[in-house]
Amino acid sequence: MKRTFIIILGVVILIILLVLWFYVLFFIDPKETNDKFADFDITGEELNGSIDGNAVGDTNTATIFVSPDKKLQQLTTKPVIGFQEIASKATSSPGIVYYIEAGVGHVYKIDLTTGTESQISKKTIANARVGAINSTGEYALIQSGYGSNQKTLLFPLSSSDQEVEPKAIELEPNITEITATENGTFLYAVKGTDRLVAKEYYPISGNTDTLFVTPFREADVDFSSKSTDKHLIYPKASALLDGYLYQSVAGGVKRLPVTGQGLTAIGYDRYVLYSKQSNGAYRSYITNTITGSSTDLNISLLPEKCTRVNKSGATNVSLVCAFSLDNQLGGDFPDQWYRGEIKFTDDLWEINPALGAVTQLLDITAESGRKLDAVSLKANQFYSRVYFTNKNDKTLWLYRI
Amino acid sequence: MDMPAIMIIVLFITLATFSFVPSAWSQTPSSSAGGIDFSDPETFQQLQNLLNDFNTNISEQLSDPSSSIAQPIEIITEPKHPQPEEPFVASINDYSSALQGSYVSWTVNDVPLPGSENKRKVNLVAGSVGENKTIKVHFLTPAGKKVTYQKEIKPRYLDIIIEPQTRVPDFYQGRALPSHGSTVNATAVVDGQLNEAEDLVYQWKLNQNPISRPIRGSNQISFTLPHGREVRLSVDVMKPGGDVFVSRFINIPSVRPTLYFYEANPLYGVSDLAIAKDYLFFGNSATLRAEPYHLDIQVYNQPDLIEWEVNRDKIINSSANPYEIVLQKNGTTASVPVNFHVRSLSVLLQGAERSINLKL
Repeated sequence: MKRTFIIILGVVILIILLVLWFYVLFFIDPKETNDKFADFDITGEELNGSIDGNAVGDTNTATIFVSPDKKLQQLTTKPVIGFQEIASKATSSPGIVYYIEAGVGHVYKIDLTTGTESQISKKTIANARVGAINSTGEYALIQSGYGSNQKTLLFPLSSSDQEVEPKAIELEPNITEITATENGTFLYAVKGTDRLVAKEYYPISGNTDTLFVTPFREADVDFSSKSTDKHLIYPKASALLDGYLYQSVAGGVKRLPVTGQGLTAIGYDRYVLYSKQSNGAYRSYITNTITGSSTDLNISLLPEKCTRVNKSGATNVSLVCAFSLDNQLGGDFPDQWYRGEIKFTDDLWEINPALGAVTQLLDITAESGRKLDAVSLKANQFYSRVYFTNKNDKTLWLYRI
Repeated sequence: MDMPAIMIIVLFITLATFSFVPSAWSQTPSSSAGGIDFSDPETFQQLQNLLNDFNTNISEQLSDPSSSIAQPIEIITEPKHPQPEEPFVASINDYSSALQGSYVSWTVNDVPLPGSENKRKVNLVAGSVGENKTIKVHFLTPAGKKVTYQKEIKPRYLDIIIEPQTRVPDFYQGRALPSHGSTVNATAVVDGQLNEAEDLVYQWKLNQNPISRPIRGSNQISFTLPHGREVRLSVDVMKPGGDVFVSRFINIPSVRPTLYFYEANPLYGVSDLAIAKDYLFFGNSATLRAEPYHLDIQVYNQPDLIEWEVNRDKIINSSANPYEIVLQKNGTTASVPVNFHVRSLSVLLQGAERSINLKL
């Protein structure tokens, strides 16, 4: 009897459960909820709506959420090979930034006031890997391919969407070190069989002027923002080979009293910030080319990760550099970084060459939550903003000084 | 007259004849040679006095460093031709006893050098380009004589720029390094000037062995890097018909070629971030590029051995670029080793090999 009762009870419970399951499955609807599955907060702002899809070749506009209060901001998710802030006549205006997308060579502009991004050039340049836009935003110089397949193309830009692809002009071969001046022209170097020839290119007329010739081929050039300023030249750096520093003078070069293995440098006016191997470590120094005095900065940085900034007149020059005090650059620098073995976690610093003072501007990791290896630093004309790309993913970033 | 008598007469005549032979032929000097009678005591004493005076005179002249027969003193610098603003050591090449006990002082451009009293060696710094310095060392001998030696230091920059003809990736910002058996180009640059090169004569040496004759305008040279961890390349520069006015040497390292893997993208090209030990394989396919560093360019272009191994099996690579491989995910293996090897079978140490793990 007891056994029969248990069996009957079990069957009843089973029937009740089956009825409940049937009811839940077919007659109850789930509640609506505002929970988000994932929040890819790339811009640091709440995403209140969708970003329009940017199909290549279409007229497309997106909105970058620009906040003038934020010190550091990511401007693109696309990889970038060149950029330029086009100066606005009103110094208080945030201005417009043009950038060139890697791989395809498309050109976009971002209005820093409205946060609107639009494509202004649909011309596709396959394998675009290096680029520059002149200071007026009227021309783009883009390099694609490697070795014998390398091409350097110049084409005009329009401030609005281009319906017809502009015609590109191919420049001479073996061009390297492309940069834009603040006067609307381009500077680049051409590798010869045993020398390097630096030139200024006028995009409107297509003419070139030779600035100087170096007596060796494998050279790095630190071009200033004006063709008439002095530029620095040194043999490409290697931790095991001697480097020597030269400065351009009318038609030629002049030797400066700086020598060292792994030598790289950046110059501004009479000052040169350089780094070299010293007793098994990569150390940085500042030298005054007029007085000849040198100061050991007691830090390790790569001068290629610096840019010139003139905050208030020609007498107050400084450099903004990306590095970390935790950097322990050893005897294989800068080769190790060039090979891509090392990824830096940078902060932004200001270096005053006259005083030899080093001041931290921004803790990037704390500000953005990201580890950035900042390269291609460039200040705008009014020296109120510094742009750079992240070497890890080539995205474009903005820092407000 | 009989024969013996004749012989005696001939012998007598012969002996009488030889008795008048000049003293130079005779073993014993004639006491009257040159008109001097050495047997005369007074003459002998005069000769003795003459010899004593001669010895004294020679000794005095040898003791006088300014005399023409005294051993010359030279100021030697190390390095031999200091570069502008380069520290160097000036020392006296003085091995004679002529200046023993002398008071020594140094001046630079006639300005006394502090702390240089009685020093045989001083530390100095060369001037800038075009700023010549006259180094003088002053001796005040115990006899009260003042003697000065000087040397002009005319610093010039002489840079030797090494451009090895070895392979590095196109994105690599640095300079290639030389490896054993590779070709190295070297350029000598004086004061950063290109125009002067044609007017100067250059003599190149490798490990102190001349590798070129002194040739005008030969400021560039190519050579094959010999075996050894380091080789010394030096160059002497001189004006035509003149002495060497600047020289320099550098030590050239010889490195072993290495290899790194990078991801290649058909749109963006080769990434400049090296793949460490493990490569996380996302998606269904990936393209990897093997980039040798510091491999001789000729070996890179025409290697005797070039092969890929995937999961320890040699594979036939169908890519147009033998240094690139396209991998497709197949199966569920968690980790697959990928190995690449490139080598010359005729030149020693011209090869590189490396492995990574694909994490699927």
